[in-house]
Amino acid sequence: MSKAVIVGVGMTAFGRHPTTHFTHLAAQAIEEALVDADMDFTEIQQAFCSRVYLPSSTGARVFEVMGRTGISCPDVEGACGAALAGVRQAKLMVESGQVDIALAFGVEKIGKGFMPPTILYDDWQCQMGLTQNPQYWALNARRHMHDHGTTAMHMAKVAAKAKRNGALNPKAFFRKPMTVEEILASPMVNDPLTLYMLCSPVDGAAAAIVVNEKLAHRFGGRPIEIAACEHAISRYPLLNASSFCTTPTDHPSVYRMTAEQAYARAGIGPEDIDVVEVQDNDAFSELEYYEELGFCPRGEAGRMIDDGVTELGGRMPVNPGGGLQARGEPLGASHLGQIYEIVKQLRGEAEQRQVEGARTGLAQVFGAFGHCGVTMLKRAY
Amino acid sequence: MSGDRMAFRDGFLSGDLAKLGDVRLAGSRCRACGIALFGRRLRCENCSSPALDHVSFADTGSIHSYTVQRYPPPQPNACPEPWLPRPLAWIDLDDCGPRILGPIRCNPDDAEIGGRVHLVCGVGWIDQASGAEVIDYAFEMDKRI
Repeated sequence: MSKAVIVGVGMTAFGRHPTTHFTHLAAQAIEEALVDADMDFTEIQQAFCSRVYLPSSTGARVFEVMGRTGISCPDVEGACGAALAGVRQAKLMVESGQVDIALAFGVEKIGKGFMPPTILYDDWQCQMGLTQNPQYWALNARRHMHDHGTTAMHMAKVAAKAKRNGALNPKAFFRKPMTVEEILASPMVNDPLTLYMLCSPVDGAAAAIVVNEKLAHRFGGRPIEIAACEHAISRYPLLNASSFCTTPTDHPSVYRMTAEQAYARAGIGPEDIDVVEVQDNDAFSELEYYEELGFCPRGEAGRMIDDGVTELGGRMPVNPGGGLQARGEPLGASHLGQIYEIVKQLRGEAEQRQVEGARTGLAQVFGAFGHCGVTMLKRAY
Repeated sequence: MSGDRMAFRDGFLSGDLAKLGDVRLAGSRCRACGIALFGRRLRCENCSSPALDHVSFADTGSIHSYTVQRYPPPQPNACPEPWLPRPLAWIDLDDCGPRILGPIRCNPDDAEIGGRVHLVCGVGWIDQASGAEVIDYAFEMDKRI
């Protein structure tokens, strides 16, 4: 089996793009990835388009802009994990030898405010008002506080880190540093989560070009190996948006399950990872992932943020690109935004937010209905 | 459907909907793995077994975790206006029942982990297609003795 490597990445600024058509947003990210790989669009043999709220056949519509080259490009939908599912398909096709050059891109255009709840929830859940996504994260946070002594201050520190890192990222949506005091004093949305502990859904696109490692020398000479790309739907219970029944079981969380699958496939353990991007829909979720991805024992995530381990300059920087809290979350493109950041980090191209000497990275996503995944990347040059 | 009343979702309530005090939350208990699930199921969501008993659950329970919805949820919804901050909780129903999500009708400051609650069913909204009253559920905190 061949190895699959990323030779080009592109990403629009994540944020508000009210006057740009979604096909043009996608094209902007794809064009940047093509330049990055020194490749022409006509060389791509297979594409996957990830999106959540955009219409049917978004990927095919992008070919109106990029040129109809006669290749396959289905849409891949998987809530906030959509882009991981697309990258995984590209990787599997390259590894299997079906194609040598594949493109995974994601795009979303969602506008400002609450996402329409009817796409995620049954009518009765809407009518009963059970449709605020942060409420589910808050329920997990409150229980963790009760069981482990985690505090709102821990969450505020995570949010402040995201804002600090986002201020260093020219493509992030939210670029204003904030103090923990400002974050704690911002309006309470779902106790214990305040406004500035939450991410914003935004518009944006991102892309990665995945090729057979044997061709990597032709395309830029800075290949990043996809050492693992694992995806699963949560076992029972599902602890997130849309869930109305969570009777406990002995199953590991889907976060732990996909991470362990990725560690096994990549032959890289959590102790070997230099830089991380996780699905910080909210500040508490990032703390939860420290534990569930095996970065620290259960109940000790608060100490990790207190000790600065996950800060830029710490032993294991998490969300150096600002995470979802500062970069923003264009759902279908979000994981490719994480991959963009990790690829830049592993190549030493992350400028002010560079993690010195980073050679291995992990990107993790989690979305509605239990979509979860982990991609492991490592420098291959 | 009972007269001009219907459950918020078929298979999630039991009892005569005309007598709200008799209505209980309903669902399935798996004969293979033992888990209790809110709502009548075809297979067990936990282990996929089709061997299920369809049961009514206890109308009392305790709070596993809670939050407070400080702002109104996005439309469409049938929540009272103007919006008043409302606790929302994962509740462990007694007698090995399921852990379910439900609103608690109480002062936001009164909700607490481990707090005891009881079920209250009522008319939530009107079904647009049939004109029937839709029965939904919430919880109230037990009075402290």
